[in-house]
Amino acid sequence: MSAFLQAIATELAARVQTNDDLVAGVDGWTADRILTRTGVTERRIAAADETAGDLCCRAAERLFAESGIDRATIDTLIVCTQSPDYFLPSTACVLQDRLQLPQSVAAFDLTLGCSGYTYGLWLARSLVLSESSSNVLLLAGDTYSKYCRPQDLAVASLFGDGATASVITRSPESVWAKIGPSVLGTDGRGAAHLIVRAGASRLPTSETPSDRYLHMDGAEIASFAVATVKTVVTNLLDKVGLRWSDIDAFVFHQASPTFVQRLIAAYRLPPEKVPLGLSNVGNTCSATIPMVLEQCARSARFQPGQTLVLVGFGVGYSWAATLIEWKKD
Amino acid sequence: MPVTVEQVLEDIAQCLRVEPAEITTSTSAAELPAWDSLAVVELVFMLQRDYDLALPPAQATTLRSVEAVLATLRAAGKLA
Repeated sequence: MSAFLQAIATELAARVQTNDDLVAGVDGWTADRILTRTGVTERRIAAADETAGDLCCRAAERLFAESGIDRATIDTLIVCTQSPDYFLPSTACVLQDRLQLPQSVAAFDLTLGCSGYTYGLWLARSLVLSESSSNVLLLAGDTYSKYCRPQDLAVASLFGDGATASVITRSPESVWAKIGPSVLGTDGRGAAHLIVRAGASRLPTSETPSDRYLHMDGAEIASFAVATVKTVVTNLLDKVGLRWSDIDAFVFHQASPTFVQRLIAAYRLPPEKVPLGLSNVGNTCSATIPMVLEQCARSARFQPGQTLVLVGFGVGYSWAATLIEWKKD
Repeated sequence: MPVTVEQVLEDIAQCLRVEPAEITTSTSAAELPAWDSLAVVELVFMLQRDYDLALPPAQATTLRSVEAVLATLRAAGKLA
């Protein structure tokens, strides 16, 4: 028994926010400074009445339309988001109805951020290998722009809104990739370094802006990422008996194009082995890895038989690396 | 091979995107606007890239002066 990634579809928020738009009325910043520091040229921003659930729903409809996958075959729905429609019920329950999935579907949310997609692949593969599920619909989407304080451009310049839909199946027919093992990890000591403090049970309301918006300690997170990504990839490769040089491509969470370029330099990786994407989208959290995979699939960047390592890392701290073998022509 | 103080000053200047002459052993973030939070991120990556030095996350935010960077390298045995 194996588990396969059958297809991916992407949906972006419609509104485009340029760097000039972002800096208007904010002292101390220029569009050039944002571009130099982040590599982001523009980002997609959700409308006030548009949720991550809406974006996930449209991504799923696009997936069904483009791939021909029959929604009636979906037996498990996982929605990975940190921007749920409601405190309760879960967004997955709402989307079961909106997507007209069978009522026999198992549906639940996965509340992880930038590690969410690789966690989702690990979970979906585990469900398939245990014969608990046959066809898992994994939706990953967020609207972090709603958590960003408009004046805090060090944070707001990074994030964009979007979603992806992926199907993980046990059938090997017409698939994009075979999903291999994962290595996962957590360090809750990092919780305070990337956090929205107010709005939930611990701090229901706050007058302090830094509580109500996304707080990010960039240096701490960079230090966490540069150490953790190297360790988790090494641990994954040790687990499967491969070396770094055996890997054809490393698909990192796109914290920002500049951030990924820094990882390439820090690890002395061949740049051609590390796809860079989303400079015109922004950091869409759990959706960045599947968005890059979809872009690479469209451009036929990967060849059948190539071995890829996907690495998600961030808020939590939480991380997961997954090995896949590319199958799509 | 251990690195010299002069080389570290050059590397810091490159991270901060300032002229090397602006960086001395007594320079700190308090007096140099370019030494902002994003510059600290650049320093974190520079230490990994150029010195194979991965900092514990809690130590990253201490990189707010040349002396702090030198002390970090000295503690890791990287400084000549």
